[in-house]
Amino acid sequence: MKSIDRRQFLKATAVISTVATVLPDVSNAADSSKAVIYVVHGRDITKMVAAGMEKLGGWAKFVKKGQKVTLKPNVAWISKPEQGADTDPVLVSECVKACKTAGASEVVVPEKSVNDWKQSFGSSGVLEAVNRAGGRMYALTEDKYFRKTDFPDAKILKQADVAIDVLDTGCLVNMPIAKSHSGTTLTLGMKNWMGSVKDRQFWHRNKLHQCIADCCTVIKPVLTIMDATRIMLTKGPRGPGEMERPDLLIFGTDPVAVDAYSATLFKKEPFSIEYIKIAHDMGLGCGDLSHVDVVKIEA
Amino acid sequence: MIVHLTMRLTIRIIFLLLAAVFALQVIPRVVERKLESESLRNGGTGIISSDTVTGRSLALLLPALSPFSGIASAAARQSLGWVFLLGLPVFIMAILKGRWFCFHLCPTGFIAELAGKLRPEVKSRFVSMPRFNELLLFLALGSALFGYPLFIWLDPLCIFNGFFSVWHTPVTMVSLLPAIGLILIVALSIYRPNAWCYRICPLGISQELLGKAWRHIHSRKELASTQVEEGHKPELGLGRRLFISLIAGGVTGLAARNIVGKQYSIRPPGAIAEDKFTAVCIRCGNCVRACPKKIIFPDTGQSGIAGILTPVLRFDPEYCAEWCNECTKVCPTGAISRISLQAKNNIAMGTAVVAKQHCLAWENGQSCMVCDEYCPYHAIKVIKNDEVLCPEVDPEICRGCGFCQAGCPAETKAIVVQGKPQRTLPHVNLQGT
Repeated sequence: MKSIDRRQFLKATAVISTVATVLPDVSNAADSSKAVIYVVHGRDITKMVAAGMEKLGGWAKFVKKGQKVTLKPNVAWISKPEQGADTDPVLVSECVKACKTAGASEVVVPEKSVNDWKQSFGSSGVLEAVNRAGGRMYALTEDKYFRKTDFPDAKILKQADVAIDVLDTGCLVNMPIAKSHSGTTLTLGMKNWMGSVKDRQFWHRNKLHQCIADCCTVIKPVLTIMDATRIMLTKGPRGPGEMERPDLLIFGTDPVAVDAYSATLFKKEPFSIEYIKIAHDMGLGCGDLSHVDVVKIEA
Repeated sequence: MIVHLTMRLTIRIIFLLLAAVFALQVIPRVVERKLESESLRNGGTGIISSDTVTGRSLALLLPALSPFSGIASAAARQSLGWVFLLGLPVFIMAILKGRWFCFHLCPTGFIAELAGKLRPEVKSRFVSMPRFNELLLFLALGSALFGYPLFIWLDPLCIFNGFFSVWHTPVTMVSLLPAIGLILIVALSIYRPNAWCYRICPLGISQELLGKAWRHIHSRKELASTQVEEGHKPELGLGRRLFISLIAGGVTGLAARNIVGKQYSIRPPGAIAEDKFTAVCIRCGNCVRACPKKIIFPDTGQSGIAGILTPVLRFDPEYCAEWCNECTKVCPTGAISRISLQAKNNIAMGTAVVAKQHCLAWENGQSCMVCDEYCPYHAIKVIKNDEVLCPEVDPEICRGCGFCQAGCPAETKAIVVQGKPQRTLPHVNLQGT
């Protein structure tokens, strides 16, 4: 019987210890490719935004100095902030201010409302909030605001007129509000881009869920901040419906993961929302929450 | 050419310009814009609520000055509002001074007179024309008693007012139609000067007769002498003509009321019953111009021959907004009642009907439900059909505001509002209020 000599023993130890030290590194590497979302709970939106952005590495990581920032809140309806059909005005103004501070040359907020835009911008309080914070909000009412864009990786929505400020910007931030929806069960982040295209009627005629996912092959926000401070459980997207207060803001760079987590607030399986499933399958993000790091923060 | 600017001419020009400013609703537009920018400058919302006084109602001043359309429409509606009082000054002036309004203020008369001056050589040929005006006036009054006043849209003030519909953008053939009245009067006045004022205009003759009647009460002799002067046969007196025309008007009015008004058009909110609407509406175009959504159009005949140029609603691409009641503020005859925003939002102008064969959900199994999404009143019932959500309309909630029709993405609109007698439905809480 041959016993291992010292040399062999040292070799083996070295290999094992290397493997042992490298292994956790490998699993860490796998973790860092995993989508991370930050779920901030609190009552003070200012503090919540600060806490969430701190975890994400600060606004400076997303906002390039001297470049334009485009924010896309949901201001589609005539609704008061407490009625939860439009993104909270305080959230929007906090982000406008932070982007300005981080060195953005200008902050634009283009929106194509479903209701009369003046009434929607006004009653939601978002126009006032943006104006006060030094941003510029405008309604996508004219053709000149759009550019015909090809969607090469899309299945159905091969081409669409998209808001130029959404396409050509240094930093695109999606700021949807989570609420129920009569057509798609839930309105979340990906669906919010319907307010940035000229012809949303096409989407309804041609498999709405697929079109929502298709749109996300081209419109890729660097960041999504989901307003789930109050959520409309019924009679969405317009309301007035039954409301609940989760008091949450959800931050993430993966739009599908943010939507998937938001769906759980309505006690829905993420993949039961068709466009989340399609987007996940198309590789636009991770909708499977077992593969998403959900970091909960109290602010 | 030197125009001698007499006092009378100056007043006429000023009144004409003022009438045009009111008809075009310039003042509310300016006030609204000012309030809007002021609010935005102060960090406000820039929204003007529907109960803010912007002077929108000024538009009804000019047509309401006419006691002719005022009395006839009040008789037909069997009610008197404060707007009716606006006709009083002209009424009193007519009693005291006959055609005083015609000579000093009437903008249509002024335009007709100017047109007539193009051919001064034939200025008295109208005398040989029959007196249509008396017939029209008595027919109107007679039929008004039966709730269907005929010809009150011939009132010169509403014809003048209607002309300004040409500024309704986008300009189309339909928006130009209401202007035709004034153009015809100008054409007639060139062909036969004075014919409009002295042989057709029912407002002119009503003033003339009021003045005569007043004098008649004081002295029979004076009336007889004027009749001789104008070459009338004394045996066919005013009284008998009045009596015959009133009866004739009553019969035709009653017949017209029963023949037309069977089909229901979608009228502006607060419109009176359809069998009176086509008569009481004087086609002044105020509601058409007041609508910020531009969904009110002059009818080209869908609501029958009696409904030509009356306002009807069309919902593509806009709808009757739940934050607006502007059209109810400008009607001079009460064809559209003055109602609050909330009262307006409770009125069903019609009912939406789903055409399943065109519906993306019912026919193609698509997840759509835009109609439900858009409906401000939540009048769409969601039906599950083969696991697909499909729309159905609850007629007890639907206001016929047309937002579903405007938003329907189907190739052929799968949800369309149909006219119905207007009725008030229970209040629904609206988003944004």
